[in-house]
Amino acid sequence: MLLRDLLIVYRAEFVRRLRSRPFLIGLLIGGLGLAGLARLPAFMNEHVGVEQGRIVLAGAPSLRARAAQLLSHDFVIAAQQESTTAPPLDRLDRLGAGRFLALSADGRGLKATMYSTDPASVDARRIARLLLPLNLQLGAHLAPATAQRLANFRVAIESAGSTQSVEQAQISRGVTFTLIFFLYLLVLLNSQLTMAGVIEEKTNRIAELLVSSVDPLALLYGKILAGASLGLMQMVVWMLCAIAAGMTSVPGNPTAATSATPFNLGGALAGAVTPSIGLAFVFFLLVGLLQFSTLFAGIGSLISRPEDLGSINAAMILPIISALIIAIAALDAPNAPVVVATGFIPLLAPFTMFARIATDQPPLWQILLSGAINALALVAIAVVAGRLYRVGMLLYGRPPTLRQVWTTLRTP
Amino acid sequence: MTLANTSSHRAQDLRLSVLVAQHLRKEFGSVVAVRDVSFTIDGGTTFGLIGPNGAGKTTTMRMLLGILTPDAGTVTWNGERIVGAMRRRFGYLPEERGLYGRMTARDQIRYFARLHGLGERDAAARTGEWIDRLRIGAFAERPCAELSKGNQQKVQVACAAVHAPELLVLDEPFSGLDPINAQMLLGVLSELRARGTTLVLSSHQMWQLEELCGAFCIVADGSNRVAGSLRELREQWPTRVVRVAPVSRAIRRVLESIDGARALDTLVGALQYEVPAATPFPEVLNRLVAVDAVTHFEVVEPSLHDIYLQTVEEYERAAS
Repeated sequence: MLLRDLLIVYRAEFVRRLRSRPFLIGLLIGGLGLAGLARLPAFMNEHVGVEQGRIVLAGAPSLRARAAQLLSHDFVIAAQQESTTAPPLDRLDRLGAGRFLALSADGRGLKATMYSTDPASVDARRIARLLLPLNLQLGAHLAPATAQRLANFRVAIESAGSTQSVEQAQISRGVTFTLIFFLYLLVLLNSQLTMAGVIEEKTNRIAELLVSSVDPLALLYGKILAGASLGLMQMVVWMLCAIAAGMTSVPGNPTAATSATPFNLGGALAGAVTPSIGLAFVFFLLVGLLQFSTLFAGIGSLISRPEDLGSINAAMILPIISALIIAIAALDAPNAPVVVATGFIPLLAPFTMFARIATDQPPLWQILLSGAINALALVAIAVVAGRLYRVGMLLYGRPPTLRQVWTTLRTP
Repeated sequence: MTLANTSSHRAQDLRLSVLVAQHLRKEFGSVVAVRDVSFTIDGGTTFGLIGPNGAGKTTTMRMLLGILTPDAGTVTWNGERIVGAMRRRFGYLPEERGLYGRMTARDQIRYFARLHGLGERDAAARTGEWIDRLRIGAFAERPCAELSKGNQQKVQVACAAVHAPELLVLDEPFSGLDPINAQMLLGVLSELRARGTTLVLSSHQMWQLEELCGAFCIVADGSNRVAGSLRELREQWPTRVVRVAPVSRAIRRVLESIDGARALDTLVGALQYEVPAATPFPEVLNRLVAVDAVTHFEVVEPSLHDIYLQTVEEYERAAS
């Protein structure tokens, strides 16, 4: 009977929330926002950095010719001139250039001075690396080909304990960050929507009619499961929007952010998300959604006035933000003691353990133990929230004291 | 078997039901909401639960429905303790009403029908019947938030009764209704009673309760003060009011000679005295006729309103 009631509540709640304006607006704005975010790095790359990517080269013709060869891959040479005196700003503006590079040479090598309308954006090391062959040629009196060969010295980077290439690892990191961000958004939005729904039922006084008709637990769990289902649906829609928009960069992936070669999230996901990572994502997304939604619903049932929502909400979202911060740290240090420990702690684990699974290969026993602890914690949270909800929904007036809450929790 | 026969048999079965509340007690922290409330309600009857604000009526109603568990005492329906599953056979119209603002009236009633155990088809059919009965067809497809207060209340009544409950508990069902809609609700409740539904009502509109209810319980400070049918309550009542016209010294002397008589405010053209209920009224009338030309003689039975006021006032005097 509980199951039948739960399904009726689930269906009604699903339809009600699906048709509700806040959900539809959230779905639309979220989809458009994520699509926009997906395009943002490319947009920034294409438009904001245009001026600083155009250079005026100055110096002797032989120096300019070789420097232009070395720099042309990364910069647009807007103009060249003999005089190394920096031109007035309005001339740079007319050329659409943000930088002026003055080159000269003496017996010890190349001398280069960069004038920029935005000096903070100048990456001196990068320019020095690009011009290194010319410096070696002039300073060590080497043939251009020899100088080029010596300057091309690179340290090889290989992933230890992973079959991924460095580029793949970077893409995986970016994709993992994106998935954690989705997890954060979905948990935050759905928990708050669930709590708002509980408070709405309480403040508009329909709660009493509902609990007289159906077991409060069926009401609570039906509502939470409907929220979780809508959360999953929301995630699929948002992800499709982001994929459709085509990411030219993935947050947290510096190589891609500056790369001129675009790639899309769909391809990145297909390459980076293995079946086990996908399974872990769905599992921890569901666990996170249900843990937080249940907790928020239980606490929400104790609130009688919508104006109390703000203060409670601020305290309630702290664990979600903490979990996000730890999960981001886990991308760089998946085996740091704090990260490993929080991988077992309910409410935090859905974020941190998923981050560990996606970036590293934690021992299987740790994954299973974390899953078991969090599944049990979900049951415990459901029992506690159920007790709070059963009493809280009929409680009006002043918020209950901690003693009253404790008494409620001890009542079977 | 026709529908009429079926419902007639159901009504007969329900009339054999009985709700028994024994020594109910409920505390919320340091506040004792209900101290000791007991009563028995026969199936198919209408019972009035009355008392001042904060007397414990709503808490008692919630315990009757199994929404709250009593700290002490029991509630049984046909000898069985009220448990969660039984609650779908009951209906409740709480004092504080609420609806889903964005849901249409039809969807709302159908949702509650489903929650009370009806199948999809049955729920849709009953919803239609109630929409017709309450004459809200023109607004049935509109969101409830857009309905007038009276129409919202009709939707709430339909939500509470759509599943033809065995027991229907209504907390202040007439508040906020205009006279026409109040009359319609009275009609609806009478129909439900005729079909065998046991009704428990709380209201401050004593005349409506007097019209509807067969028995009453007056609660003050969480305890029963008096309980029974209006006739029983009147029989237990220690005094009656005698009205006699014309106003004359001779008549006044006769009335004041009655043991325990107390003069009340004089009505236009008539004397009013409160006298013990056991007073031999025919004998008093003979004596009055002997002393003056009596044009009016009336023994006024206490109304529910009088009994309520006096009961509560007596309790408050004793408590202070």
